Amino acid sequence: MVYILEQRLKAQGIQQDKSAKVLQDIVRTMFDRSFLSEKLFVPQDMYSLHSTRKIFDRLAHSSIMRLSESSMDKLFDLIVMGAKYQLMCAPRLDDMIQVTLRHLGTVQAILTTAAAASPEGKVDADVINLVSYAEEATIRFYGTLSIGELSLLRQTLARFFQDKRVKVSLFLAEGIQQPSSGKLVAPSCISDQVGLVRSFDDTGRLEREERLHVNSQKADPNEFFCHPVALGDNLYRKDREKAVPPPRSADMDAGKSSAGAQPQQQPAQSTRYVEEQVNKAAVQELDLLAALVQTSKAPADNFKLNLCFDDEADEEAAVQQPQEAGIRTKEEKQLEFGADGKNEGYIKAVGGVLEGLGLDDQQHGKSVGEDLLDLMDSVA
Amino acid sequence: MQGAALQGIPTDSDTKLDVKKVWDETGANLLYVWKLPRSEPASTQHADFVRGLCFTVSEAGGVLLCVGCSSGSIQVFSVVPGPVIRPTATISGQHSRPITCLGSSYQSRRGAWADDLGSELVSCDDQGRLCVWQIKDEQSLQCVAAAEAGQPCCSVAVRRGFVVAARVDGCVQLYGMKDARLRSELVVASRWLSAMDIHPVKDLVATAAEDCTLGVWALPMCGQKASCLLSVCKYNERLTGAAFCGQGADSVAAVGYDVGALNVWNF
Repeated sequence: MVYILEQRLKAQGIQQDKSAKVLQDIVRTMFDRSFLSEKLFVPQDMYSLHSTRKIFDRLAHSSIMRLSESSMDKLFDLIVMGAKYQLMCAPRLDDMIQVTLRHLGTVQAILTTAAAASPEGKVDADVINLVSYAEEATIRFYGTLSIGELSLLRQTLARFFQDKRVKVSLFLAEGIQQPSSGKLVAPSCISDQVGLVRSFDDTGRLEREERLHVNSQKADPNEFFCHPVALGDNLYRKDREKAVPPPRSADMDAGKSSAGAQPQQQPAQSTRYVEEQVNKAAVQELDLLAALVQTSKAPADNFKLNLCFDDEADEEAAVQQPQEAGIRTKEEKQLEFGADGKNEGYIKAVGGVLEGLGLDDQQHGKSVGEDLLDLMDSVA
Repeated sequence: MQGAALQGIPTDSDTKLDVKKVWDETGANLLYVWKLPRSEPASTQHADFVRGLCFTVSEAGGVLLCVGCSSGSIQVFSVVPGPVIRPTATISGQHSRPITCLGSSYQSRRGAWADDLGSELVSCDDQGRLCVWQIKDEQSLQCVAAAEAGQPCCSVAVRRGFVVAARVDGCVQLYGMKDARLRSELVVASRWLSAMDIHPVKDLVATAAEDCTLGVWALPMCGQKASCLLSVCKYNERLTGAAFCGQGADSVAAVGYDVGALNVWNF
């Protein structure tokens, strides 16, 4: 969230003192000590996506910044897709903790840089201390989890993000998402260990080792493009070199992988009583959490942050069609973060694949290729 | 049992996954519901949950349904014709960590008779501790062997006196049932082994992993050499389940995360 807001504040030319204040206010709310110690770093049930969205809504509006409903939706979708990418592409269990610590370190760096550029010239030390406290709490809480607990945690998070597949132009352009289906490109399956067979004698000593021929290890390495920016680092940083993925056959396969990509939603089997209990618990949790997310009244010098190109066009589109983030028609704008025209080579290489893309997660049969290319080439 | 099949399913729609339901073979009729008793004192690390289940038979001839619990205990139910299901015993003492999976030769053969059927149960917890239990009757289970697999297992099976354990790091290991010694291991995936299914008749396993690979492997046992019969890479589909299916169980189906399709291969 901080990465995205920092980039948008710069793109919209918000005054540096206001930008610094927005970021510090949000971080101060996000990492409030009592919130972290009493509500966040305690074993608890997973919140729903809806509840989590409301928490971020509160966080975003804890500063002088104001976001429209559609901008908030877009921001949340970007946050969710970014987190999902980092979770599903991490090759090891403890990467979840490393990514979190990297986030926190980068947040501190962003705050320091933003404050240094402002007229005041320095960051509020209390805010930096709050982030440090969050780092310590992360290590203390998650550092002692066993492999089994980390595995369960990962599965729980994967379930939380399941079926959330919003196409983000930055991710599409830099090979993080597959253009045809929006699937996150997986890390490579190729390993020199796969196919090894070891036999042991009665004493446990290695008796024999052989290697089997395994076809999956002959997969094309280009199909598993690995983005050069480390998981957890700031993908939205303007000064970094853009990644250009190689052309992949999986990206060309628009027809097969994109049709009917959405899994069918099965109705819940729970009884009415169980549904009511779950909803009651969710509302209680949300109220308590919202109360702990301390927000102050909006001062007079607040401003509106736009996560879209054209707020008017977006509002008009929202009236015409149900509110959804993702790839939109020419009148609506997609999540066009970070794309600044340096990926024309990649776009050309995948040919007309992008022209067949439908709207957001479902095929609507309308070609959005041209405006998608325009958006991907535009400056954020 | 008498030609009828039962399904025991912990479903995500049940509050906190602490409910076990048993359905008939059509999946349309709910036969039995069991709710995990809350542990006392309550755990500060995680909520109580159930994970891992299998059918097995006792030396006395009774069919048992075993369910793994987050406390490390195993709940045993007797299943008699009707079917009538009732809890008979809670087995604890060997696992202090949540159970991840259970297996038996009866479950591995899908209830069909075979000459290697025994009255045993194999359990694994999330620290990788494997235990082999001998079952006298519905209330008497004795741990006869234990091994440390080093990593939790997503699935465990029993075949011809061997415990076949699928570790989450991508390695399938074979342990002797009597002495719990590691006999051999196959590296089947580069990471995140999600599921393993054992063929009901042949000595084969199917593995599905989040590195997008599916494999069918011949197990190195009883004179058979290890080999790879099928190896598929389904690009960008993090596979989460696999099962032998079809006529003669000579096809294998797999499902993936965030994907609505079921893929089936012949081998």
